[in-house]
Order: sequence, then structure tokens, then C-alpha cells
Amino acid sequence: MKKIFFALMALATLLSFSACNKELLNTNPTDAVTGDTMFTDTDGAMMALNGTYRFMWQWGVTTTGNYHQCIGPQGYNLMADLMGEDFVQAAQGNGWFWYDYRYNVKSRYTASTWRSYDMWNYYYTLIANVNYIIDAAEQIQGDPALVNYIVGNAYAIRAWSYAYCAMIFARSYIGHEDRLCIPIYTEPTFAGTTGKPRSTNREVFAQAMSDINKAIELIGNSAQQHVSHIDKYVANGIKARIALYMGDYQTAHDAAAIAVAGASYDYDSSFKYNDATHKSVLWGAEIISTQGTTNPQFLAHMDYRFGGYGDASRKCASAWLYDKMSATDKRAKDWWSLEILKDGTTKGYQQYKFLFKDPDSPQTGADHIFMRAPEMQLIIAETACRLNNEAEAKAALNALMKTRDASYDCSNLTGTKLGELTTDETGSLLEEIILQRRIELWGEYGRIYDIKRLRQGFVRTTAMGHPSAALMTSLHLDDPESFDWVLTIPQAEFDANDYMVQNPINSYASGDQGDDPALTPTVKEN
Amino acid sequence: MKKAKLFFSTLFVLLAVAVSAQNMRVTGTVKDSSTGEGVPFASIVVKGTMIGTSTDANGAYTINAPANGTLEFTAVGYVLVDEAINGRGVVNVSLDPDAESLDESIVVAYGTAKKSSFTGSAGTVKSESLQKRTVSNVTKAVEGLVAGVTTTAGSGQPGEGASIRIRGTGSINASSSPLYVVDGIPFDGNIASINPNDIETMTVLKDASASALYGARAANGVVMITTKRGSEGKANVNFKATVGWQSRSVKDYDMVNAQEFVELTWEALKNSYILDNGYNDAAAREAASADLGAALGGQFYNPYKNYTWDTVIDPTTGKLMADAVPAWNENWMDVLTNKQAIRQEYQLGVSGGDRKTKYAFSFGYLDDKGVLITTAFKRYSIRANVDHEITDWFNAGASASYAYTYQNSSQYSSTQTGNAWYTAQFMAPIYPVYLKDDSGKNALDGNGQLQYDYGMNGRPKATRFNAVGDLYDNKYETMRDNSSIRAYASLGGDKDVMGIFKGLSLSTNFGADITGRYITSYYNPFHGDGTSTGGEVDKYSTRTFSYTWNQILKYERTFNDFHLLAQAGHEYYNYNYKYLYAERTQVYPGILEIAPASGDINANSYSDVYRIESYFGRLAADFKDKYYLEATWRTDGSSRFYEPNRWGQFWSVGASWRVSQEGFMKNANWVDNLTLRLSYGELGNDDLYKGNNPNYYAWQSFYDLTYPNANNAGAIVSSLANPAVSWEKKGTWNVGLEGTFFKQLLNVTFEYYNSLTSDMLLSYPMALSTGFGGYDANVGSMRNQGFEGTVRVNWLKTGNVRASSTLMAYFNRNKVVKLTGESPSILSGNQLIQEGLPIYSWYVARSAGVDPATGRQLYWAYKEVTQNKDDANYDAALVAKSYSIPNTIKLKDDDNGKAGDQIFGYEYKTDNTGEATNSKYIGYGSREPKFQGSFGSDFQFGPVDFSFLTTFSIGGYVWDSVYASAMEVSYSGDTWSKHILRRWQKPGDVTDVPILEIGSTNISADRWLVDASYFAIKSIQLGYTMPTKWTQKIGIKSLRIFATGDNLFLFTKLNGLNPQYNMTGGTSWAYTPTRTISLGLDINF
Repeated sequence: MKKIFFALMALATLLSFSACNKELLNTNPTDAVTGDTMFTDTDGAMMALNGTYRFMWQWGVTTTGNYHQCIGPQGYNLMADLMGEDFVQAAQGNGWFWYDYRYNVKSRYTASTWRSYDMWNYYYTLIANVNYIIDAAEQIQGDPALVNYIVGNAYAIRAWSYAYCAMIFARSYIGHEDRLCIPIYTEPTFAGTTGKPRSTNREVFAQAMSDINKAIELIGNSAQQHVSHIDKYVANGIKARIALYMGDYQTAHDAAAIAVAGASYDYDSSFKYNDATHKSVLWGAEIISTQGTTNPQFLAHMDYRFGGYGDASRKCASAWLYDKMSATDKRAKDWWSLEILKDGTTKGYQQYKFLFKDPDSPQTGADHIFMRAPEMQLIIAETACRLNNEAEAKAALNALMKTRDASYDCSNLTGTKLGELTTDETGSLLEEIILQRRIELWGEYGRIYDIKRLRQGFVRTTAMGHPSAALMTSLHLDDPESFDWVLTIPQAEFDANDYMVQNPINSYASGDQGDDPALTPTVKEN
Repeated sequence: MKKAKLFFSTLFVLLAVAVSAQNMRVTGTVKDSSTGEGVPFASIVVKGTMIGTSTDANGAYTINAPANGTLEFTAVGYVLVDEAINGRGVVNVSLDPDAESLDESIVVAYGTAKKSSFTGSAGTVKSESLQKRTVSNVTKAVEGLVAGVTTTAGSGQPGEGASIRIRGTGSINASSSPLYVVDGIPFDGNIASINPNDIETMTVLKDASASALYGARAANGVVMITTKRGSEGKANVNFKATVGWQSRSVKDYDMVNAQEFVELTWEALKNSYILDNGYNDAAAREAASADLGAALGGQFYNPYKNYTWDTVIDPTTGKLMADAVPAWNENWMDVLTNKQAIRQEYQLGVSGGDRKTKYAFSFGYLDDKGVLITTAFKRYSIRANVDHEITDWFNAGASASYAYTYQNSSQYSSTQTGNAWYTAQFMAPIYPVYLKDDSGKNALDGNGQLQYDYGMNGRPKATRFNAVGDLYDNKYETMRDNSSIRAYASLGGDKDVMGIFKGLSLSTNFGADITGRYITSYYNPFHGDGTSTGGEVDKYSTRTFSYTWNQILKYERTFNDFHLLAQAGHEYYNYNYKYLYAERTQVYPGILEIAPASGDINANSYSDVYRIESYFGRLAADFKDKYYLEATWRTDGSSRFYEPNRWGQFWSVGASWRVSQEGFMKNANWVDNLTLRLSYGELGNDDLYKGNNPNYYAWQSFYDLTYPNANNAGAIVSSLANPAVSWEKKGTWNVGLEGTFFKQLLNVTFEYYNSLTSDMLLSYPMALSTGFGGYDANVGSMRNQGFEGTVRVNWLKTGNVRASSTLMAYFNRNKVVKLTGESPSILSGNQLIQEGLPIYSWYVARSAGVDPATGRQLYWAYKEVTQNKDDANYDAALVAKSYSIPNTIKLKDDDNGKAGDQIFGYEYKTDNTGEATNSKYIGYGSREPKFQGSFGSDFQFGPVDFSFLTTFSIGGYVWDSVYASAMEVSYSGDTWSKHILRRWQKPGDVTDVPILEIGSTNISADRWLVDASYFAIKSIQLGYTMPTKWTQKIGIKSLRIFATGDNLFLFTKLNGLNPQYNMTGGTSWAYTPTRTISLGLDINF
């Protein structure tokens, strides 16, 4: 018996203390790959680029809550439209965008569920992702033209991100060129990368301009591989937008002239902004059924027939803007109509511009639209006007408008004078171009960015259709110097960036808040 | 154990023989009070003499003793009993099993230990205590039973458990939950699958010495669950049945009624016309009346059928017209409550065995209906344990359990419209659950049935939803198959037959937990969230398979007064998780399957693997039952870390000294036992989290492959590489003093601990503008220290009348010692993690009352100003009311100012929410209570037993966001807390509630910090055991009937508040905890 015991004991000891295979402790996830394997060839780099585009339009990835109003570029444009005066949100509904509309987001900068965190995180996540691609340019193996296309797209995304981030986190470029804007990062991020101080508007927009020029150079004449990608037309469109915001009208004009050739600016009554392959679309996102969703998407907020957010909170045009359209303007009938709601009230001009292809099947037929040719044509008209080339401006505007309103003619207008308030009418040609821009791009371009660059102020009235809760009389929306439309920087930034300076929570700067470069801490001691 | 009994009884027999006094002959039996069976080898001594004897195998005894003497009955594991003879010839006694018995053996890591030799800190909960709680998930039964353990109340959803923290929060980004070990093997199954009735003991290992052998993953303590096993003797058959009725245990918030609601809405509208639009008072009143209908959803929802909305309020008074009578005044919460929430539980257990083989098996059935309509939990459980002694030196055993659980719940949380707890909380009483006709009566359908109102007629809130209807029409069900197996084999032991190997043993243990989970969620196409997609059906299938296999070599011998134990072992742990999900829209109404749905299929799957390999050893020695020393060491390699940093070293040393055994204590007869314990050890934690999910691959930089762009594969960077990330360490000192006095009358335990978490796993904060919020790193440290005291008094222990009470009080003080070194604090919402403060300290604006002139909420704000005495604009008045900020006097001129500049700070009141947001204050403390504890008692009066348990917690604050939303209403149609009636209404009003507004800019202020103190009556039980002489005739060994009240009463500062909602001090719109009142029957055959 002792023998059995001894044998068993020896066997068991041998078994148990024979060390396990070391490899067993190396485990890996099944839905991710390690970063250093991504950029060996164009396949991997293209995957990183496509992932970045997906992130750009994917809803709900930038915050820890309130996902339903974080829905990519169209959502941010809707927010920026709602911050202006042309866009009416008739009711609170489920609350989405209502806080943007009522300027009730700036004090919420400590939460990771509101706009400050959302937008900061959104643009800087895009920037971090493309910085890795740009950094890897030299090591990507494959067709040089394809490498250039990928890296060029990365530069273009960075240009777009810096410009749009700057447009919401700083006051206008014009008039505040050397005021604080946002930090610039052009190198890839690693564990321990430290935060940078805010650069000035001039520096940030110079970076954006340099990036977009680099993108145009690298992309060359390569064809757009997918509607979400940036080709030379889209890149020039982005360049035109940036230059326009900066007041660099010649650059904007020339870039827009290239961009407009990429698509058609003709009017199409049947187009309901749900198909990125439409002839007028330069840039958008194709949403296939398995990547589509129901509620947290742009059209669910817009299309009241869908029965959700768009119904509970009607999206309407201001009566003031609507009344500017002539009776023969097709848009006035195709895009808006007066609706009587169930409680018997009238809530402005209900929009029909943005509709699902089929509201019963919202996961498809709800593509995202980021850029259309009419915008480029309007930039040509506006910049030509500002460059004292009124003939070209009128021709450009008339060409656009004749497909929308057969009786349209702006030939008798002249001048570039704009009112102090957007409702103070001067009758100038520039004002007319801007007006058509407001109508044509309603709901898709971010009205507040225009109000900022035009250095105007605005008022909302109940006569326009705004609910009394949204008049915002206690703010200073009539003053282009105010900080009301400048978002606060999220607390998460301050937790790890000693250089950061906050924007004023109120309408004007006080104490250690504001965009004065003198406020930036210069010494970091550890 | 048995050996020890034999030893002691022989000793006493010898002693008895040595004495030869001749008095009277006394006979009797000694019985176990809990089982009614005879106690063999109990010793009986005539008090004050050396005369004694012991019972035979059936518990019978005979002794010669003086007629006026007193007999002292003792047996190992029982409470001592004194019984006066008083001339009786027959003296029968029953002994109570003693939880505090000195030589009680307790379950420790990789074995058991005598309590006296234990150098660590542990609390044991016996099955009797667990049985007093009517819980479906055993984690809910722990509250108040072990000092140092804090629990949440847990969700009232049947089957859900409570969270447990042992001695405070030990980590910031890694888990703070204890390790669960079932029958010696770490448990990865679902705790709800364990039938609480199958549990013999739950041991909570609190300090390093106790849990160090579990090294990895034991830093937050260990909860060891040991299931019932068989014992030698005739088979015992136990049948137990309970039936209970459930209701809310936390009161609902006090909300306004229909009349108040309508008046308040009108007043808020009036105020908005004055404040936002600059109307004068009269115009505002008129506008408010005109606007009321639109704000509340039109005439359809006007319950005052004799008025229209614009006339129902008298604009001069703001009051409802006197003759306005509501046709309905709905209480949604009431309609949602299941008034027949019945809980039924049936158990059958069989156990027994002979000298070689012991067995226990059980069956359980539970049907638990929730207090929220449609919610329920069912469990069918089977468990079997077998232990067999194959030869003198070869033992083996196995246990297997299977449980099938079914849960029907509501999957929504927080402010989702589909969340019944949220929607019903705020649905104003003017909105009916069922459709009404023009006269205000229920509008019935063609079949005469009530119809739900889905708000389609203009209700401003939750259009398309009806919280009641949606619960019936949608589905969220979870089915789980839970299997656990445990097996062991042991060779050798402390037997002479082993020859030169005497004392040497080798054992191996294998345990596996397999859980299959299958979830179906179904959204109907007609109402609620499914409307927009033609309905949706989702299926989730997950499989968790984990196993642990260890091999332990042990040498244990006793040489005279010296006892030695040496152990060495190896262990391998493997965890495997598989996830599969598929979803399809356009459902076939009523069919909860994907097949008949016609939308596109959306699917996803992934797997996770996690492994740990470990080597460990233990050395323990004791001398003369007086001095005990123990040292352990363990090293773990975790697959979560990169190879060079993978292995962590964990160890502990502990000592205990039984002071009462010393010579100098010989005369202190009142001291039964006095033990002093001291230990120190270091444990590890690798349980990293990323959001709410475990992070198994912390050190690598990853590209997340789940970002395809249309049909193009896509990936985005999801984490930064930090190969250096490694184990979090926790070093804990523990000092304990335990004493038993006055012949077991009084038992006290006091413990002090001080633990320091270092190399803390923390998401090292990065500037968000770098594209990342942080990366996992080992930085910073945190301290938890506390004091625990338990006093147990056995008031009475004579025969059939017994009474005992236990008071526990304990506190923990958490302090964040160090963070990254760069930034002294991390802000997370309303809370701050800051060096020098307890974790999750509140950090919010400080309210300064309501301005009596304007009704605006005022806040304290602070500002800093630079002043210079030499300046012309030096503001002496300002400086006088300011406080100087130290070290801010500028000594020389530079670009930023000149010499003599000094910064002053001052406070002021403001109604500007922006300034108030920038002026948050610390100093409110955190959720951490000043102290907490429990008090309970057990009584036995012959056949009647009675017990109760209460718990209390004093101090700490809860941020009640539910209450805040009911006071600062965001949407028209949402109702208010009754406290809103205290609001400011006209200039001169002095109150703490500001002017009424809907959707005002609200900020996080201390108004919503509520004192978290509470007192709770956790359980009361009354039982009656039938006299044996009746029951034995029908073959029943014992029969007890009982009534139990569980979670009976909760007393808090604010009705509605659940102070134990979570560990960090929040509240949410969540399933309220429940109270159960039940009747039961317990029969042994």
C-alpha cells in the first residue's frame, strides 16, 4: 500500500508542479488589434482612415450620456443652427437640442454628458486618430498614390476638425485673431503626452489652412473611393469654408470654384436629404442598414412623420425667414408648411426639407449629408461680391436661384453693407446673398458660425415662431463681442492640463476667464 | 474534531473516577437544542468539585451528585449550561450550539482552522442567521451580520443582489468588490443561482492574514461560501416551505396632487412670462391662463370637465376654481405596483452518512414575484455533495449543483422614457393610465376592456408610451443555466499508517463554474420604443466558463505542545467568456423570435480570456495553545499584465497570543478566553475596469475593429499602451482583541485596521485634447482605516429559556493619500477625488438661501482680487472683508505685476448660476457614514423563539437626484415633490425654495445633499416548535412554524430616499427595495 501511495504522490507532485506554458498568460481581445500592426500596409492604414470616418458620423460615442443629441456633423450643424435665429424648435419634446437652443449648456462643463465634453472629445478624438495616420506616412507600404490618398484624407480631417472646433470654442476669427483659441497637436499621442496651452485663432486657422493645403496636394486627382472620403472637390470645399470664416475671400472664392465642379447645384424638389449619392452631394456618409439606427439620428429629430423626437419637438423655420421667400420660390412649398398641432396651436413653419426615405424603415434611407454644391456656389457669389466683382456675384447667385425660383433676379442689387442685427435690413447685394444662403442651407450649415463671422448680432421673437422660453433676452446675442456662443472647455481638460484657461461662463470675460493670451499659465513646475 | 471530543471526554471521565463522593444518583439526557438529538461525550461536572462524567453515544448520562448541587454541562461546540439538581433524580438539559465556541473551526483559505489559532480577522455568518432573512440572493442577507461590511440595499427586482464592500472602498479604477469563493474555489457564477438554504456558513475574510493565500484578487476581502455537507448518522430529511407577500420597503416620494399640479404649472407659466418676456403681472396672468392648455396637452387631458384649461384657474388668485372637480387624479406608481407580489419557496434537503461516506443533497424551488407588475424571478436548484474516505489515507469528494433561473424585468434605467420608475415618478396626476371619454369616464373598447392611454392625444410627456401597457407588451427576460462542480482528492494525512510520511498529505481541488445566459428583449411595434422600427427583438447569448485547479502539498504534525503546519501549492485559473448578440426589427407582433422578423439582422460576437497562475506557501506554528504564528506567501501571474510586470508577490505574517492561557491569568476566573491578534500583509488587485466592463488587456495599445464605414472595414485607436502597468497593492495592519467572560455570558471583539492601497490602478488623467482621457497606470495611494466592535451578551441560557443580543458598531475612514503628483484632484460629476479627502467627496455649489425680494436661489461664490497698497485704486474696504491668500505677495516686478501685489479672496452671494458653478465648495464630506452597525437579539422561551435584527448608519450625505428633479422640474407635464409648496411666491417671502420655474437653469448645489443616516428594521422572526412528544408519534423529528418580516421598516430623513442605493451616494429611478412578510413551515423527518 505504501508503494501505491508513494507512486501516486510522486505522480501527482510531478503533474502539479510542472509549470504551465508561459504563452497561456498572453491573452488578446477578439474585437481589437494592437496599434503597432495597423500601419504596416495600405490595408491597415485604410482601415484606420475608414474607422475615423465612421467615428465622425457614429452617434453616441463621445459622451457618457445624452447620446441622442451627439450624432455627428449633421447633429453639430443642427445645434449651431438652433443657436441662431432662423431655426425654431417649437417645443422641448424629449429635451434633445433644447438646451443648445436655450443656451443652457455652458455651465454644464463639469459633466461628461453635455456639449462641452461632447464636442471637445469629438474633435480631439478625430485629431488624435489622424495624427497616428499622418505620423505613419513614411512606414505605410503600398501604392504611393494610395498612401498619399490616405494621408491626404487624414490631413483634411485634421483641418476640418481644427476649424470646426475653433469655431465653437473661441470667438470669431475676424476681430479676435490673436485671442485664445484651442490647443494644437500634430504629433501622435502616447501614454503620458501632456496637454498643451491654447493657441490663438491665428495659429489654429494657420494650422487648418496648412493642413488642407497639404491634403489637396497629396490627394491630387485621386478619385473619391467612398462618398464619406475627401477628394479634391471636398478638400477645396473645406478650404473654402475655412477661408470664408477667416475672411480670406480670394482663397475662399478660388477653392469654392474648384469644389463646385464636383457636384450639381441644380434644384431637385424630390431630394429630401437622405441620400448621399444625390447629384448635389459632395460629401456625406452612406448609412447601411446594419449601421443605421432609429432614434439617435439626425432625421429622427427632423422628420415629424417618424413619430418620435421630430414629432414631440417640431423643427420649424422662422416666420421671418419664410416670409423672405417669394411666392414662386419652389423651396417655400417643398421645404416648409404651416401646421396646426394637436393641441390646436400653430408652431411656425414645419420643415419638410429633411425626411426619411421611409419613416417606417429608418435604418436605411437616412444617409448623412456633410457638403453640397449649392453651398459652394453661394460662397462664390459672396466672395465675388466682397472682392468687388458684383457682376460675377450676381451671375453666380442668379444661376443658382433660377432653378429654384424662375422669377428670381438680383441684378438690381449692389453693395456689401450688413445690419448690426441680422434683422436690420440694408437691401445690399451681400445681404441678399447671405439671405439665400440662410434659406438654402437652413438646417445644414450651422447658422451661428455665420453670425459670428459676419460680426452681427441677432434677436429672437415670438412673432418669428420662437417659444417664449427661447427668447434669451437675458443674454447678449445682439453683441458679436459676447461669449454667449463660445462653449466652455470641459473640466476633464483642466484635470490634466495646467495650461488651460476657461472661457467665460457668462456673456463677458471676468477674472481668470476669457480668451486673453496673458491669462495662459506659462510655467509648469513639477 | 471527533478526536478532540474523545480526548476531552476521556479526560473528564478520568477526573470523575478520581473523585469518590457519594450522594444521590442523577440520570438524564443531554440534547442538542437545534436538532433535538442526544449529544454524545458531553461532560457533566458537579460544580465546585472534581466529580464528573460524560454522556454516552445517545447523550444519556448517570452521575452521583449532592442533592442540592449544581451540574455543569459542557460539550465542545456548545454553550455551557448550569442546572441545579434540586433533589431531582432526572435532569435533562439541551445545549445550544455555540457560534462563539473557542474551538469552533472556521473556513479559511485552502482549509479550515481552529478559531483560537486564527491570526487574522474574519466574520462568520451561520446558516441560522441567513435563514432569518427572506432573500432570493444571499448577498442581501449579509447586512448587519459582520462588522466592517457595508452593503447596498440592492435592487428590488427579484433575484438581484446587493453590493458588498469590506472595510471601505479600496481602489479607484480597479474593482472594490470582494472575491467570492464557493467551497474553496473562486466563484464566477451568478450569486443568484445559489440557494441560500444550501449555505452552511459564509465567512468574510477581512484582513491580509486571513485572505493573503488568495493573493491575487483578495485585496478587497473574501467572501467564502461553504455549502452544507452530510454528517454521520441516520438520514435527516428536511422540508421547508415559506409563502410571503411583498411590498415597497422604501416609501414613495411625497408628490403633489392634481389640483396643486395644475396651479403650480399655471404659476410657472406666469413666472416665465414675467422673468423671460418682461410681461407685467396682469398680462402674465392672462398669458398663463391662455397658455395652460398648450403646456399640458390640450383639453383631452383636462380632468376638470366643467372647465376649459383657460378658465379653470382664477387668474387673480392663481387657484383652481372652487367648483372644479377632477374626474380623475391618477397615481401611476400605484397602478404599477403589484398588490399580489407573492413569494413562494420550497426546499427539500436530505443528508446523512456513515463513517466512510457522507452525503447531502437538496432541491429548491423559488417563485418570487416583484412589486413592479410583470417582474418575477424563478429558480429551480439542485445540489449534491458526497465525501468518501476510500482508505485511511485517501479521501475524495465531489459536489455538483445546477440551477435554472428565469428573470423577467424591465431593462430600462435612469431617465429613459421606457423606465417605468422614471416615467411613473414624474407623470402628473392629470394624465390617466387608461383612456377617458369626454365625460371623464373610462373609454372602453369593443370588448368592454380598459384601453391604455399612450399619450397620442397631445400629452407633452412620453408620447407613444404607457408605463403600464409597455410592461405587458414588451419583454425582457433572462434565462440562466448555472452549473458548478467542485471535486477534491487528498492523499495522506496525520495518520500512523503513513509511517515516515505521517503528517504529509497531497490534495488537489478542481472547481468549475459554467453559466449560460440567454436574454430576449422584445419591443412591440405599436407603442413605446419599438414604434419607430416596427418593433425589435434582441437576443443575447453569453457563456462563462471558468475553472480553477490546484495542487497542495501539506505537512502537519503535533509534537507534544508544538503544532506545525507547512503548505505549498500551485494553482491555475482560467476564465473564458463568449458573447453573441443578434437583433432584428420589423417583428411579427407577439412572437419573441428573430426568425419571423423582417428587418435586417444586426449581429455581434466576441470572446474574452483571462488567466492566472499562482504558487503559494504557508507556515504556521503554535505552542501550548498559547502562541500562534503564521506566515503566507503567494505569487500570481496575471494575463492582464505584460510579461515582465506580470508576477506579483503577496505575503502576510500574523501572530496571536491567548493571554488567558498564561499563568498570571489563572486567578481571573471570570475570563474564559482572551486573545490578542496582530497581522500585516500585502495583497493584490488586478481587476481593472474600463467603464463598466472588466479590462482584461490593460497594457496594450489597441485599435477597436468595430468601426466599419459602410462596407469598408474600419478601426479607431481605443487605448494607449503602458507595458508598465501592474498589480495594485494593498498592505493592511490588523490588531484584534477578543475575549469571552463570565462563563460565556459576554463575548467581545474589537479590531482596528489600517490599510494602504499603493501603486493604485488609476486611469492616469490626460488632457482630453490629446484625444484620450487617460491611460491605465499604477499611481497614487489611498488609506482606509477603521474600528470594529462586536459585543454579544448571552443573557439567559438556562434550559429552554435563552436570550442573547449582539451589538455591532464600526466605522471606516477613507482618505486619498496621493494621486498623480501633477494634479491633486480628479473631478467626477458632483464628486471629487482629491488628495487628503475621502474618495468621492461632494463638490458642489453652496446655496445661500432664497432672495426674499426676487425669489431667486442665491449661492455663495468666491473671487480672488489682486490688490497693492501702493496703488491709487487700492480698495481698503474690499481687503477688509477679504481673507489674504498665503504666499501671494509678489516680491519683485515682472510682466504679470509689480512688487507688493497680493491676492485676496472674498465671498459673496449671487444668483448667477455661472459664478456659482465656478465657486464649488468642498467640506460636505462624502457618502461615508460617521459610523454604522447593527443590533439584534434572539430569544427562546420553550417552544417559542423570537429574533430581530436592526441596522443603522449615522452621517454621510446622499445626492438625491430624483428629489432634485422633482423640485427643479425640467419638462411641462412632469409633477413636483410636495416640498415645492414651500416655494417663494411674493416679495418678502422667506423660504428655502426659490420661485417656481419649469426648465430653469439648475446647477449642482448642496440643496440636494441629504443626510444619509437611517435606521432599519431588517428582520423580525417569530417561531413555534411543536413539542416532540406530539410530532414523534407521526414520525416527525421536529416541526417548526414561523412568521418572518423582512426589510420591515426604514427610517430616513426624506421619504422616498433610498440611502443605500449605491456605495458612492447617489440615487436613481430604480426598482425600489422590497419588504416581505412571510409564513413558513420547517419539518425534519
